Amino acid sequence: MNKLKINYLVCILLLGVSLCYADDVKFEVTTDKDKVSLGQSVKLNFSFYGLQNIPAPQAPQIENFQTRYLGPSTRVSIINGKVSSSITHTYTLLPFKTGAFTIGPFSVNYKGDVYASKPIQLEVVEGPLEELPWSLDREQEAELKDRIFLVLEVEKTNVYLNELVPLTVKLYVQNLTVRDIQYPQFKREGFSMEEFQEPRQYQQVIGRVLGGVLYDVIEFKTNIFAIKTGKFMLGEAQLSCNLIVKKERRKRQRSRAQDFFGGFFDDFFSGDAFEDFFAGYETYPLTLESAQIPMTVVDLPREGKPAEFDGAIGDFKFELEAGPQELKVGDPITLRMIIEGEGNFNTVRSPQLSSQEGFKVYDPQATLKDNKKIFEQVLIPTTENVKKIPKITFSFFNPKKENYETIAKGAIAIKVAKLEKEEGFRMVGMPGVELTPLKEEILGRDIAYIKESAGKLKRKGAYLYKNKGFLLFQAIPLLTLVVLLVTHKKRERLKTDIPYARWLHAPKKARKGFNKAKALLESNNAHAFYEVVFKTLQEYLGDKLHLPTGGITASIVDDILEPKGIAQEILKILKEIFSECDMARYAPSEFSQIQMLGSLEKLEEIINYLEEQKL
Amino acid sequence: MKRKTFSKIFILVLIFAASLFFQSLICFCENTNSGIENFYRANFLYEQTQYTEAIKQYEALIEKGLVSANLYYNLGNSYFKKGDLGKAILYYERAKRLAPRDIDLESNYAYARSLIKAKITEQRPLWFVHITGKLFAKLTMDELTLFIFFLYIAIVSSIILGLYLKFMKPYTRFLLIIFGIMLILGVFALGARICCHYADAIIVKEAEAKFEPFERGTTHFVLSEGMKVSIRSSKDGWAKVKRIDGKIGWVNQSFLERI
Repeated sequence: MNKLKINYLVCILLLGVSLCYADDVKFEVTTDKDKVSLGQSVKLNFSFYGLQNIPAPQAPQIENFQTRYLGPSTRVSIINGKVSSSITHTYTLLPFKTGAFTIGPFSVNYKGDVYASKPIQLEVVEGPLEELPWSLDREQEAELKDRIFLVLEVEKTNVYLNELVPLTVKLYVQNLTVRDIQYPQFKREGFSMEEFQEPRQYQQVIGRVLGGVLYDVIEFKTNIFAIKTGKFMLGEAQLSCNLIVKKERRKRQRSRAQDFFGGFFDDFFSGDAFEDFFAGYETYPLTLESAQIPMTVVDLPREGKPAEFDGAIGDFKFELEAGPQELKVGDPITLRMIIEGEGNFNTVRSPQLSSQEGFKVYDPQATLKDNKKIFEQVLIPTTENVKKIPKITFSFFNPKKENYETIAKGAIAIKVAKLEKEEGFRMVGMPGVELTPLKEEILGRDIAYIKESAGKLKRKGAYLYKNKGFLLFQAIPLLTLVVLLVTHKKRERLKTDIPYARWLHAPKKARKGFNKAKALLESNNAHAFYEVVFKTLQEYLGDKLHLPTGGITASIVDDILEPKGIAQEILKILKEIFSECDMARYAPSEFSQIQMLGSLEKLEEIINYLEEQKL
Repeated sequence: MKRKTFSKIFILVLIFAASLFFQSLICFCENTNSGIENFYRANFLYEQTQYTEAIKQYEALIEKGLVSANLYYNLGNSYFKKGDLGKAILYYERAKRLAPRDIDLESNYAYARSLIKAKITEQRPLWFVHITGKLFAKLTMDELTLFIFFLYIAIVSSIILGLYLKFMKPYTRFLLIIFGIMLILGVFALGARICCHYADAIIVKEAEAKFEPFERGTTHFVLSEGMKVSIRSSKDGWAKVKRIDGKIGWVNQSFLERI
């Protein structure tokens, strides 16, 4: 309840604060520097004074810059009792271009109020790059686009349907640190693409021989082929990567000598290890786009198309092998048709036998290795009259020569022997093709062999559940549980039930007092002795009857103990002991050791009696 | 004073009982190697295809009161090779009780059973019995007993932990329910297992089950060699048996042997 109230109070207070200061809100936009070199970032601060709860405005879109939100920072200061608060939302600006820019003015709309700022000036310069020799005579604007870009290339733009066209995506990088480069992706309507090969990396000079610029190139290669005829735009290719930008570049005065060694020192000192230690760097995700390429896809020419043509496009060679060439009726011959060369193997289908007479022919199995497609086909001669494997022709369209080509192989002569009479003709299936059910595999069935070792020998009929020791042991956890439950109950009761706790601890305390009195008796200190005896008796009776200890006097004997049915003798002794105590404590009479001993015995008698009676 | 002595006595009792337990376990697990030579002699005879002699040697070991899964398995194999399907299945069954996870045994048992003449579809027991039976089928009786024992310890300790560790309290009930269910299932399975243990028998010779426990009684059904039956009661050398399809009849006890 209280907490809730406090919460309300805090809310109201906060509301008050924000209301109080809503009137004199100031909005200001600043940058941390007004001059920056290309490749470095600038911090753009949106500061609101007199406000703390304004959310971050959307990252402003500024031409030639990439913006990214970094985070807010708030500040409250009290000066001479005057409270001022502010919040600053910080963005980073990464320039793409050199030149002088005017950023802003910005305006922020918050809860109906519009806050506006003044525009700020920012100059982007080439920076340290100006010192490099090859850039001295360059006048054109250096743009980030010139230092990292993507190029999409194809070998030809006029292609036939299904023709394989090599395609290259190149990433050019100059003097920038780029990480996490992804495989490129591009729009390819009407085209199918193979997987990219492992990217290749090399260096290339672009431009004039002397004034040329050295780029690092990462090259991704693949093949595409058209699946539709018509005109299509290929691309644009897209590639995602992370640009690493130094936050603070250490200003170094470079001597001519250092210039002489040029790139070496530059590379060495701006190496990653140094950067990691001395200068922080920031990561900018960058998506690069290439230009588009128009493609024209035409169908294969009608004229000159051979009858055997089955869609294969490329430049191929065709080989035919067959074995065995001497066999019996019913034995299988394996035909190997090897098609090798360059082209779209997806379009290459198995060449057909010109005649199937006298053979049982199975479907071919194709395997594709790099630049080689092998078809294996099983033939089984059904009569001994078969003398040869008929001619096999393979036709394809060669896009380089722009004509159809046909290769014929065979016929291959074979000798087929007659079957001996008792063998009888049976058709042998192609090995591995026909599925043999598992049951057929078992030629004879028998039991598994005997065990070599006897294993663990044990008494016959000896089971754990019959084991007396084991069964007896079952009692232990149960016993433990019962004991622990009882002690736990007792402890819980002692915690909550005070009369019980007092009652339980009374004899122990009495025993302590008794021992103390005994010690005093031996030292013959009558006054202290009776003090202790009286106190012990008081505490004992108080605990047992759950009465305040101080209120126990001789009077309780008649008032409380008598109605409880305590023996008259004990009551008498109790009275005696109380009076002895009083005498010793208040009257300065002398008590002998024998008298004290008597009192002690009386005390013991009373306690023992009351314990027996379970008062 | 009194309480201290009590706890002392309690701890003494605990230690004593624990020692008893471990002693008994050690005795229980003890490997006895006397008579092992019979086993190797029998293996040799089996290799020589002298199955009758091999059986004699294996059985000599059993007469000494010593058994093992491998021994039963080899005996089963010997009987199988000798052509005594009933006895072979009997010993495979006995071996299965000691080694329910043996692959060789499983395959031989399945093969032997596939050779039983009469094919009778098994009457499915009650779903509860079926499930608990399946659940613990791959445990031996001793493993099952130990499993129950550990569950029992787990229940006791989770109660105690719930009493003394406050953060355990909310989970205690959940744990108790889970352990409790598992314990009930385990005890049920063990009970069923013990019941089967004494009731199940294998027909060792082809026999006819009669309506009455007399030779002149009308034949009710036929029991093929190797079939498993459960004995309901017995009288004057006759046993009232239940076939796996649920049919009940009387058969002369000389035709069957308890597993």
